[in-house]
Amino acid sequence: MLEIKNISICYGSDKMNYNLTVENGDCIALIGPSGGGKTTLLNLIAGFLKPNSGKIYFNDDDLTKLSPDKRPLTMLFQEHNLFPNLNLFENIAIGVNPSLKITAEQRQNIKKAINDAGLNGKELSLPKELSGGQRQRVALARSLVRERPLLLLDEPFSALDPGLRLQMLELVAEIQKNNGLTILMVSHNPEDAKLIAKKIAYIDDGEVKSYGNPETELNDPLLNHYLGQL
Amino acid sequence: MLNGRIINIILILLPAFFALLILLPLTIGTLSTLLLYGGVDGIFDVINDPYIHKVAIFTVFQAVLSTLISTIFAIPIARAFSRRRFYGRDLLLRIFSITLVMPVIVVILGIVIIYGKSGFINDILRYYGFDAGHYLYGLTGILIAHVFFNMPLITRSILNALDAIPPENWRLASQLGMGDMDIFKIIEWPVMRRVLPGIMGVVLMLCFTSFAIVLTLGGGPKATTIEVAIYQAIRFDFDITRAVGLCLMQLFLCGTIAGFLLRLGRNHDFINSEKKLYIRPDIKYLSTKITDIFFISLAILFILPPIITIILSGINYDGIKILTEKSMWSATFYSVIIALSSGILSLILGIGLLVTSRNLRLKYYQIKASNMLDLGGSLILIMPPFVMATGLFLMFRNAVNIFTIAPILIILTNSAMALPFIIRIMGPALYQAGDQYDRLCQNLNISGINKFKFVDWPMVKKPFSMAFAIAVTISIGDLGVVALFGSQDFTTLPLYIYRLTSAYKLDQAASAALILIIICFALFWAIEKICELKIGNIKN
Repeated sequence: MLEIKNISICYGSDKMNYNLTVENGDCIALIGPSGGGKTTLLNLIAGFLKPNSGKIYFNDDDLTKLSPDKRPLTMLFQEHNLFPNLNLFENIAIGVNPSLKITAEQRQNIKKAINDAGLNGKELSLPKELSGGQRQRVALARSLVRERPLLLLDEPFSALDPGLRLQMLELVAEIQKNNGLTILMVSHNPEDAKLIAKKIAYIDDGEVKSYGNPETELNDPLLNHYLGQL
Repeated sequence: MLNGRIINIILILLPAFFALLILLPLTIGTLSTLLLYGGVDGIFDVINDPYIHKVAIFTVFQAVLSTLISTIFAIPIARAFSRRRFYGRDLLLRIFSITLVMPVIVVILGIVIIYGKSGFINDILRYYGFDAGHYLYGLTGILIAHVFFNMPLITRSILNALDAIPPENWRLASQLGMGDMDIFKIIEWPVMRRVLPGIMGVVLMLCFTSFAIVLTLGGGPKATTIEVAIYQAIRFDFDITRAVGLCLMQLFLCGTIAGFLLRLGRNHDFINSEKKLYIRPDIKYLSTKITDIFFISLAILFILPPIITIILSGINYDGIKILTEKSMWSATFYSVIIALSSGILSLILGIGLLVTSRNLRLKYYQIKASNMLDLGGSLILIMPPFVMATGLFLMFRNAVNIFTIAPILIILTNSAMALPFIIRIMGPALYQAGDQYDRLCQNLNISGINKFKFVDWPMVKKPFSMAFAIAVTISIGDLGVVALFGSQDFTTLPLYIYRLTSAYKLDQAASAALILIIICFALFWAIEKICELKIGNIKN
């Protein structure tokens, strides 16, 4: 269980304060207007930002003071998830060991992840030789070999074509099922949420305004206002 | 209809035509003069002279060594600046970006006061019973001065590249738990490798053609470069054949380096990357804390003392006396006139080339011709000032008394030297102004003076003032060609300081150097202020 308890941070005059509880194995969609604080929440969970106060627990372990690499999670960004000078295989392997020193067993795991992400035969390609969708698949494959129970997605598919985005969401859903991951996903699109999310958190003004099942949430007046469906 | 079109094309070609009217004699003209005067036999004798071989080898050796040392220090210093935010960081970086346009003779004087025989370093050593003696003169001095000018340049260039790394990469690095070496190998080295060849090439070229530093700090035939040898051949031995042979050798070696540089492709050094906020995971490692403190202190201790020394020792009783010397004021007067004239001439030449090149590209899609003009302007870098000056010297030697037209020759060579900078700085802005607004202006029927007032000038005024200021500063601090043509009656401030320094009148030299610095800043400031003026704004 991921528990975010009264985590607060100040950006100039803006104050953010979050409370959220996520059950293991759930997929949560974070929805809300730009600048409302969705990415800030993910950055706080990942440890890229330090909160002024509050606590983050995962399975009763306190994560608040841990450095980003010690936290049981992987975060995917909208872009620049890959190092441009490393090939596809190395870009995944670096998730196992930051100095790229890997054992034979780890090599097998990486190959399996490449297979699961549908990237067979592209091992030696550089990021610039891959399409946008393929690059995000590599990032997903890396998150697989890292074997961390939490996956944070910061709009990693928003720049893709609608069809491709759907494929990627399906891949995420499959990965989640097979690996029992807990996922937090920032999205602009209620369709994404309906497709794979078990719950929706509506975030605005730096706080979680409402939180519940997609069916009830998508009828919530706040969310409908944001979606322009008043 | 056809006639109108031809007139249009002629109008477009006219600016470049006038620029080339001056540039071609300066380049091709001087070159052919050199070849005519040299004579094949004489030149072969020079090229086969073992002394000249030694000079050529030393020239290459000191340039390569200076470049390598500058780079080796620039890498950890740039990394430290990228990791740390501290009080005075911005000021230091600003100083780093002006070392290249600082008057060379002023810095040399600062270095002599600190590292020279009776300098601070020797004082400290003597206190502890050591005597390092004249360690400064020779290769050591040349290296110290070259690293002073070029290490900051390389550091800035690397830092710009590091600043352009996407912030996501740093987050990834912290998520994956990368260590210092991993970060260097996987994130930093790949971006450094993209900028290093270009900037190292530029530095190699600068050290290769360096004149004032080698002349003052080289100390004798053991540490002489081709550039200084040309000067000695003309000024002291009056051996024209030898000078021509040396010029051709210099030109050949410079051309080789430049050809090599061109193959490396464009570098984007003069573009300042926008400031992005990024947090690097390696700021908290103990090892990087130690190395960063070490290298930032080293940079401060190396760069600041020569500058501070000049300012402090410039104000002294003995030195202040030069304020009453007529020769000092006449040197100052000539310096300012020459600097402003070469700055203006350089701007006219640069804008002439750029305007034609922009119109060829945007209106007639003559990309090749346009590129040729731009490249031509930058290629002047291959022409060492002394080669140009020697050519001019030979061209006018029999027609007029060379010393009476010395100021004009200096203005010509100085403006040619500043031309690559003008093109580099103003080119992008001029293209942008044209590319983005030409069609809109046609649409709204804005043309002529109105187009200039409302569209072109607001977009180019900043790079314009920058280019002008840099051209003026380069010219006012230059101690190159003026050493060749200078006389008792005609002296510039750098040459005046050089003479005082050679005579070991360091106090007076320091005061004159302080005056030169003050004039530099005043001109820089005045140019920026004048160019900031708005023209043709609507009054409320």
